[in-house]
Amino acid sequence: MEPMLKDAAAENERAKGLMNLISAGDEVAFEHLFEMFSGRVFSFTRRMLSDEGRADEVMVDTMYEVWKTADRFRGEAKVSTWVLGIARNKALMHLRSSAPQTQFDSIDEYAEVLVSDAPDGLLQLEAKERDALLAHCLDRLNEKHRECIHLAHYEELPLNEVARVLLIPEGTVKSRLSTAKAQLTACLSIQLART
Amino acid sequence: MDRQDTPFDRILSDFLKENTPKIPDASYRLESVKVRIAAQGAKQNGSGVATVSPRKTLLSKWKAFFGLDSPRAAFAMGLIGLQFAAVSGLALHIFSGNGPYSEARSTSTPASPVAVTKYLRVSFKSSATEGEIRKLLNAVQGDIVAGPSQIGEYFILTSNGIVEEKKAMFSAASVVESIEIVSKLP
Repeated sequence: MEPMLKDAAAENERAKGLMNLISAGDEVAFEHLFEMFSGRVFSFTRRMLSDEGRADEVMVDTMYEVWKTADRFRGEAKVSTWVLGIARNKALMHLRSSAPQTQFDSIDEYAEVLVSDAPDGLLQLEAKERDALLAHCLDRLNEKHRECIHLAHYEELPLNEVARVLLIPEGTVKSRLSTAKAQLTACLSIQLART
Repeated sequence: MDRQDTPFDRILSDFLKENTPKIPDASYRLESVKVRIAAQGAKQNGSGVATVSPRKTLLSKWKAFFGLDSPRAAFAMGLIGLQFAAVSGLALHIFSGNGPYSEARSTSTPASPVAVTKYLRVSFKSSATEGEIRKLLNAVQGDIVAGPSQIGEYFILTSNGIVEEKKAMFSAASVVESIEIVSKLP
């Protein structure tokens, strides 16, 4: 087993042990689990909601739900998958209650550029400029694509785990990732042409 | 990752790792969750999650008040309990129809069948807006009594007489992904 996968497996075993203790009402175990996952939940909800205050609120809600429903965790999925799945549903509820934000309505808007690799010129930019462009373009993706990108490229979850968190088939994850990257590339190309 | 990383994938991963905002103050947030846990524990009167069960605390206070911590006092209380059970059993025998006063039974008609509470477990499509959900709930006069669960399910209160009718109304709505009748809440 590769070291990274070994670490992930060990972390999951530890988290499973904590879940058992939490379902018996162990608050100290919950504190450890909170330490393990609160940051990841916050990053994910922040990415989905694009708002720190709401992300914070959803993270607290999520971790409280983890405490309340720990006895329903059956160990079929990884603990992280289960926790991120709860966070996603809570974040979706927040998104439903808010007005839609400026996003890509369709990839047709950027139909001329449909490659999913780094556009020419991106690598030549200074890190600060490149980050500003990426941040701008990531914020313009819709939440379906943003959550996919986050889980695959920040959490570095395998496709089957991304599919479990999002409750969609693996093939849909692949196509969403591909669309998201094509949209990002298109957006970056347009931004680069303007600079 | 089970994908072949392109240079763009690596740029993206590096960017996300360096620029994703971190949680501002985790310990403060933990305290917020713990306050909610404590509040829930108090509300549920110790059922399930409270670290110290208020029921147990009450029992120990009661035992201390009556001095039942000693074996002799516990034996005396046990004896009183047995006598009470014997008297109750005798009274039940007399008034239940097996005793000499069986004519004293009530002549009222049996109660009519009681409506049994049922719930509809509904899952809405991820594209459904809050407005659409609210509109649907108003249309079918459904009250959400629990949810969303960790997989986004809601529980709608109904009763056995109208459950099929309400289920059909929900099933016809385009925002509903799945619906099922359940007899109790999770």
